[in-house]
Amino acid sequence: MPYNIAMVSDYFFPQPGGIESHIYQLSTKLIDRGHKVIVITHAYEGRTGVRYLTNGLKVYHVPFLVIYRATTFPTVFSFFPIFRNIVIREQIEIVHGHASLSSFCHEAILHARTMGLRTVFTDHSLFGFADAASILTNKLLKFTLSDVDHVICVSHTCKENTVLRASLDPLMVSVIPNAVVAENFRPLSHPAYPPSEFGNHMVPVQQHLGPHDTITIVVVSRLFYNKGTDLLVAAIPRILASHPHVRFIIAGSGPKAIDLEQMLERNVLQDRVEMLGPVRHEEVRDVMVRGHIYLHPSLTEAFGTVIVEAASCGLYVVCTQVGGIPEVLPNHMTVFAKPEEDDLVAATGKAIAALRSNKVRTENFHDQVKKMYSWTDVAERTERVYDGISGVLSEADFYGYDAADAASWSATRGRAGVQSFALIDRLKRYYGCGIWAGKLFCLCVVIDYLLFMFLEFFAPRDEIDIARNWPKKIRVENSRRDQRTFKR
Amino acid sequence: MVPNPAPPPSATITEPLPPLTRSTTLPLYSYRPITTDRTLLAPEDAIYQGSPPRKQSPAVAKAARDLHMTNGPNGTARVSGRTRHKDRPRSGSRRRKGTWKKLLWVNQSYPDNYTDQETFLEHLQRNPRLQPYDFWPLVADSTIIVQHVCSVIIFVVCFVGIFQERVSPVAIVGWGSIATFLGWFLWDWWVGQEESTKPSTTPVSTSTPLDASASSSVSNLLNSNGNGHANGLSSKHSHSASVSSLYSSTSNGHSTNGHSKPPTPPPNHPNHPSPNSSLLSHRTSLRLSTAKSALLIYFTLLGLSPILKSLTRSTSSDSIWTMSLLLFAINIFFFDYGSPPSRSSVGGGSKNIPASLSTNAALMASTVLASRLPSTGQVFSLTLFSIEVFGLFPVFRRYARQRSWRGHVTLTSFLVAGAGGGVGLILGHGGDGNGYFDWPWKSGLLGGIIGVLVTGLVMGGCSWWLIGLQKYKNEIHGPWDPARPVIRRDDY
Amino acid sequence: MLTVAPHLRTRRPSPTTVEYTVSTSPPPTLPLRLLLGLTILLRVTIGLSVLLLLYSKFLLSDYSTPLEPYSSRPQLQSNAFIWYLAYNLTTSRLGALFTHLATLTPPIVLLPASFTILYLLSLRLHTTESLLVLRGLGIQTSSSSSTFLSGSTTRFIPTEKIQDIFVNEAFRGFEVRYYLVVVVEGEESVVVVFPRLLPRRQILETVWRGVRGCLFEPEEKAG
Repeated sequence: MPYNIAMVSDYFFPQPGGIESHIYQLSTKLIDRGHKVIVITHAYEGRTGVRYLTNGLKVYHVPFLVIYRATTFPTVFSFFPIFRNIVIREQIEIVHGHASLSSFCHEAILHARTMGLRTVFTDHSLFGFADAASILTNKLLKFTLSDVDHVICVSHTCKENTVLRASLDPLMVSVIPNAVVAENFRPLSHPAYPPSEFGNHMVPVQQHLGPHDTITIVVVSRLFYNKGTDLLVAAIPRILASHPHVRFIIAGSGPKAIDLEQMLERNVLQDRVEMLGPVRHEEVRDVMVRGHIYLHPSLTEAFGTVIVEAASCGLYVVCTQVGGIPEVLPNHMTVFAKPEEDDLVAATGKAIAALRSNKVRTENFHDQVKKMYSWTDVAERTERVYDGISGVLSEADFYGYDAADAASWSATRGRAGVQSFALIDRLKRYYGCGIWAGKLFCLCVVIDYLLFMFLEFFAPRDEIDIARNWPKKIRVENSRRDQRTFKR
Repeated sequence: MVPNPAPPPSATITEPLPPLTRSTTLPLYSYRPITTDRTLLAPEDAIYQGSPPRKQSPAVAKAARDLHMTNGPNGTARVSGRTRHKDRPRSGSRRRKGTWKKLLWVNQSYPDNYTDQETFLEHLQRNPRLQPYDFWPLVADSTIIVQHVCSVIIFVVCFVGIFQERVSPVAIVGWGSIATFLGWFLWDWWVGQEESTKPSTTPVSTSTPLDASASSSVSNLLNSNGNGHANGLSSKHSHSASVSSLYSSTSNGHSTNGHSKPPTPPPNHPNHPSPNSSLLSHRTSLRLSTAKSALLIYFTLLGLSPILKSLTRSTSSDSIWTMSLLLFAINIFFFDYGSPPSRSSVGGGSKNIPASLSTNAALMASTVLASRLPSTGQVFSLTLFSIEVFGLFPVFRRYARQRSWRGHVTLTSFLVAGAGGGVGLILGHGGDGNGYFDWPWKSGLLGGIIGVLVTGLVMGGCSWWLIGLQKYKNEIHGPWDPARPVIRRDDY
Repeated sequence: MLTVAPHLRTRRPSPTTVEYTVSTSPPPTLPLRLLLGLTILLRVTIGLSVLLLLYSKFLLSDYSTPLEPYSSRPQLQSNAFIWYLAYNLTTSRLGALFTHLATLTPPIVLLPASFTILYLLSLRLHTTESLLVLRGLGIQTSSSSSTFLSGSTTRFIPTEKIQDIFVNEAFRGFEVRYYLVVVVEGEESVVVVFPRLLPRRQILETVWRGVRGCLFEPEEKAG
């Protein structure tokens, strides 16, 4: 059944980034599947008001105060009137928030629950438990997620992290990975799309590397500390010293770029290491196809879309074994290293040796990655989450536990298999958040509810125009998709 | 959602993670064999790339197991050790073939919210670096703080004594100087002993920094003096780095903050004495330079005292008391209580700043206090005494603690008794001839006893409290934490 | 009671002309007219009494010259008659009451308050905005002003200047509203039709269809 979904996040186009493209791709695919999707974000420079993107994706750029790196100032209630207006006029049923640093998303989830809507939250990043900023974010996350219907994480590590941070029931957290648009990341030798995908599938030719051919190692990453630039700075001279026919291409910018440049000058490696500076996302593929190995020295990563993109471009991936990275790619595409300089050098050496002996069939990577990750698949799995929280799937089906177990833990769930909207039930959930925090959260929820009553009285629903929907496409692949959904 | 019951804080922290409160997700769909219309990969496809995906070979199970072994590099050893198949609640393995794998790239026949009981949070570590404190070592470590607080108290008591003109300033500075000289003598003897036991180590030359900074200003000189001694003594092997860092400790601190490159060690060691210079002449030159700097300080202070005397004439006394209180608080809070061995290994560049802040605060406080005194002699005495107490005494204390534990304890008890006695003398009208038991040192003795008792109680109580608080420590580490890169720094 | 939600009235004086009027005034019936007349009477009364109060205050101040009593009634159309009337009013019992009131209120309260009241009295009760479409010539938007003091603002846009006309959405205050805009060639900003009332989507769509039908009919036929 089609839903009306609102994606809420601080991060959306025109700002570049992973979360932004995730929201866009997911929304597009959901629209293709017959749902209605709108995106609510804050106004960007030169991008205000209500806009339509391709495929009829409607974007509300709400005017709001931006404080730091595209994150709005967290005013708990000021977003409510306009959010309510949008939700009513678009007849939204499910509010889907993205990114745990976005205050917009947290507020939207709170208000949506007050208004009696289903909520989903997608977490894209990993957080520690030690520093003060993380503690604050975690408390906020706990507040929001106390009363959310379902949470989606991009990797299993991310799920563990989110479950711990927000004290969630692990069963209400689904793991749905990111995906890549494989067409945009095809190797150089691969025929351009669209060929008939299932018909005359041409077998890519294997490229042979002689022992003296130059192997190019590509690094595409923002040059920050947590992207492992220090490891890179330490490892590059050693890799270049032990392998004479190796070159580096480094794309990206950041505060650590200066360290990299110093290293190049100290070791006089300018002719073997090419620094490209910042590269737009559309150009990443053109950089990647110039190389044979992709080196990813990151220190923390929830999913690591870039290594999937690299593998899709037919690059052999050398990456550190941190965060969710070990889950992302199969073993024959990657060489894992510990986040240590010695191990990284050794792993790169191993990768170079494997390429030289032509043991790795990188030309097959693209088609394999295309089968592993697709946004259509992500949209299907997300749709199943929507089905589960709105009661289309039975509770047992969706949460997957035995009926005997149900009594023991569904005390706060309603009988319908979905979370109850009653204020007292919501307050119970928030109250458990902590000695002081619980009371504070309850206060916030009560104020939010009063505000809702106030708005219902002074801005009645029947005075809000219902927006017209974008004309829908006719679903072509209806039957085939449905079959697959059933299988899942 | 019920907020997940956080495991109750328990005294035994090293116990394994409590199991999940929910039962594991049981797969409820019947397992469908791999159908022909699927477009996503299954785990076995990765191994048998040549084979068409629909082929169900008997090797699939083995392949899947292999895959798990190769792809779960962190936890395979543990997992295979456990009896995960038996542990799985009843219908799990019966209804579904294939085990769940913590992988994203395979199309698994489990629902997305499936939570594997065995592997979920298996890499979670709680309090991995926890060292349970013991009572007596904690008490012993707290003596460092007690020593410093006591020396501050003694200084304040001396000031009050001079201010109320009960004690002659000359007596104070005289005894102080004698004690300092004795301490220096002892220290020199210890250094000599150490060098004779370790003849291979290249001797430390601290003459250069002393000379270089002696001309700048009093506080700077003392600071570098103290640092020079501390660094030179505590880290024998990194003396050249410490020497180079002494020239500009602040700029060094800025350039080496964080985890960036270490201060580049000088390629050669120009400060080393030439090989033919004997050990004795080196030691003698060291002593000479120390005496020289001492004389320099002495005369500088003598010259500055009249200026210092009128420094704060236009400020009211209340402000001065408040200010000096604040400055002493800064001194106590920012004092470097760290033990020397831990400092010598990781670069002390960034740690120098709070230490110098502490010393500077104390010297400023004493300068401000001294400016309240009426006569030049008093000002000079107090300032000199403050330099001895705040500049040189900490260095001696640190070294003494390293050298002899017994001496350290003795010093601590003397300091505690002295501080308590001093406070008692100041508060009571000790020795002024009033009262029944007119014994001049009565209130002093009483103060000393009370001080020792209170200090003992506080030390014990605080240690016990800290140990009690430790059970609330709940530090969570896991694969989501940013990894700490291990970089061999000496490589480039 | 006196106003209603914005509603649309369409007039077609000729086959090539349409006028769309959006107004908050209800259809004129006899009781409504009576009621409106009553409100006008009330406004005039309150306005005059405020003026009298101000005048009494002025008389109390130092700047005024005391009024001379007129011995005889002057000519009706002369200036002196106004002064005569004013004198009679201020010396009457009503005048005494207002003088008393004027002594009680300090000028810093009296002046802003009376000006606010006068402004409120001059506000129009209804808002009427209209769009007149003349095929081949252009469109004319008109919007009634908020006070009785100024007339309505009208603007004519010739057909050749009109690039497009469409319905859009925008944030306004705490809500998202639909609005009808005309894109005028050579201008930075678009012209919003019905800018004060911003009627609901239903009305806007009707108007939009009508305007497009009326304006662009020949082109559409050709195309």
